[in-house]
Amino acid sequence: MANALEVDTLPRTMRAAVLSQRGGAGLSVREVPMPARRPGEVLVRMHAAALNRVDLYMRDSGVGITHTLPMVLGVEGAGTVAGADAGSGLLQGSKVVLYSSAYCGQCRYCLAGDQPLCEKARIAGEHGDGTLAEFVMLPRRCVVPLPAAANLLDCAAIGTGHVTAWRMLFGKRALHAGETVLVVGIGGGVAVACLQLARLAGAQVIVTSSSDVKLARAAELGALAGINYRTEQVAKRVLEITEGRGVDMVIDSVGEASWGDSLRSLRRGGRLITCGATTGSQPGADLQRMFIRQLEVYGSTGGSVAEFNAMLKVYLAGGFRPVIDQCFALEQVGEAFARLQRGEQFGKVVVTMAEIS
Amino acid sequence: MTPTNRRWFYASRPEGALGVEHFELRTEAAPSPGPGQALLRMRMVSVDPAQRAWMMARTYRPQLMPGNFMPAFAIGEVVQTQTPDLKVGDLVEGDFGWQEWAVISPRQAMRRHRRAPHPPMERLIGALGLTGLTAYFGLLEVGRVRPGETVVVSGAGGAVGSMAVQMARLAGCHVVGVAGGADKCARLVAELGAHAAVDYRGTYFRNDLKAACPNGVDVYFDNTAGSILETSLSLMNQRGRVVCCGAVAQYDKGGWGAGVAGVPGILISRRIRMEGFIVMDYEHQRPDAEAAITRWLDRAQLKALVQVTEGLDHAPRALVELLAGGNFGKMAVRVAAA
Repeated sequence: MANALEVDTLPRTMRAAVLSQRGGAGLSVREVPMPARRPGEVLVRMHAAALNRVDLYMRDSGVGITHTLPMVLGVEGAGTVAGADAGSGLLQGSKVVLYSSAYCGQCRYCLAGDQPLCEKARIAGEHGDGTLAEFVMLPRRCVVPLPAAANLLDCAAIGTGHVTAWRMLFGKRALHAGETVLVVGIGGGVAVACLQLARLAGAQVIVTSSSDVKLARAAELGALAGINYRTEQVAKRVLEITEGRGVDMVIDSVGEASWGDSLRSLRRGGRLITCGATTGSQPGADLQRMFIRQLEVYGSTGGSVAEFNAMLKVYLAGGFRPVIDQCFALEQVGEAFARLQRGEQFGKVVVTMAEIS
Repeated sequence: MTPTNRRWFYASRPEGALGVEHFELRTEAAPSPGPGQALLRMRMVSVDPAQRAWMMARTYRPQLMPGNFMPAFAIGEVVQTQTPDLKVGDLVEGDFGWQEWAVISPRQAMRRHRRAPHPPMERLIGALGLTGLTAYFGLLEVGRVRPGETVVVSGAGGAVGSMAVQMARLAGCHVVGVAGGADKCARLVAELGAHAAVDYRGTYFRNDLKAACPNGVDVYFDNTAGSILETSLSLMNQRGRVVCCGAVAQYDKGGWGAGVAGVPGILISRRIRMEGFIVMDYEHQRPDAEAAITRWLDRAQLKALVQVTEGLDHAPRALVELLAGGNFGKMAVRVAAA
């Protein structure tokens, strides 16, 4: 049970971005009851939460994800401890970042350390209330302590995009120094994170976009080359840039529109990792190319606890800083979603709930 | 045109440390190429710790026996040819040994460079030679380093070690070099970008190494074996990897050494993978590695440190010096200038 002090000092209600029905009009900032903390859970006072593509999906569709409306959206963020069990190792007021998938810890996947495959995972903002709120309640295992000097705005912006990128790049068949990766559609949080982390690992990165401005931003972050898919033939350019070899890895979150080019950009035996299907999920498979050139295609989503910790360690050691596109106050959450929907962002769109220290 | 060929032979087996007295220089008639062959004028020959290992036992090649000609990685220039596959002016790399001239057939050429200008000799012998490739495959394919991991490299001032240190840095790792002497340690940090360097001769080596690796050791790139391996193993993290690349600390001891009894306990409890390799295992990936190394060199992200001794006469002395830790970077002997 929550202790007396905690209950007394906390408000009875909080503001949150609540989805009451599908679509942009169904999302509003409302006063809702505070979550009542149960033993084993931690109440976090949110300072910032960053948006992800999945937030738009939840707002507009949500098909295939078990949940009920109304629900608070948002799958990542950082804040401070507002309530935790004694002995939890979390001090009141200390900084934390969220691993927002409550995994079961019991299934074969969890036992293998592969929490993104957990059979019973409940992700905040997908299966239950999320992080676009003044407070969020999550199991202790989802709350990761940060050092006192940590930048909460940064930490709010790495908990999903960068860990998703980390798993794709360094998971199953890790990208290593000296290799080349094609990141399709630079601009989104995961794509920009892929660019940053691949550079950090000493790999070369080629990016695509329809915006020359975004290609220029990517070049500033160390991209070897940028291809404007509106005006250039992507696979042809990739082969030119790699002197006919093709890239070792492709990261594709676009799906139908880019799939053919992505497969044609790979070297023999190369790997394509898919983590999204923003233009549709039924591309021509091009099976002949896949077996003749022995390409590997696999999916990825989120990251394991170990991957989250590895990524966080590198961030805290100063290895990278997330690219923050724009910050919005919670009241402006609709505008933040609109920016994401228009695909205007480069890096993370962040919503702030409280003063950032 | 080529009246004589001076060649170094391995003359007698050392009891303990190798010395120049274990070699013999012989002058023989220069060879001339037959049909399908070419004559190479040696330009530069390599000096490697592995040469000492070949004297000790059968390794990945038959044991070197007293009386044998001294094998070595070398670069030569084709000066006469009776094969269309090798043209006059080609630079050819291969196991051509410590000598001035060699007759070879095309299949003995591990790599050839046709188009002038050729890459500089100092790059070919080290960074782009077996040395750089050994570091690349050892670190990235065997060690599978990830950004943020701690990598310890022993023999860090050596040819492979100096490359491994720089590549680990490029791969986003926390890099700690282990070398002998304060001077080498200072150079590892100042010139090669190691985050820290530790002198294995120091009284408190284990404490020093531990302090340099506040997050433990994820990958230990072992060029030395011996006591540095022992110490590093004791600092390994769970799921750590030990890349067994060289064993220079054992080479002058007349045997590989005992002491495996305690190793499995550490490997089991920390789930460590300890794996040996030789560079030829990754021959198939060589073009990719060469392309990456060339890019790093061109962008000055990687330094090809080469210590060149002038004159074939000094090859044994260079090897003896190398085994005593007298080099920083790759050691090579220039046989003939261009």
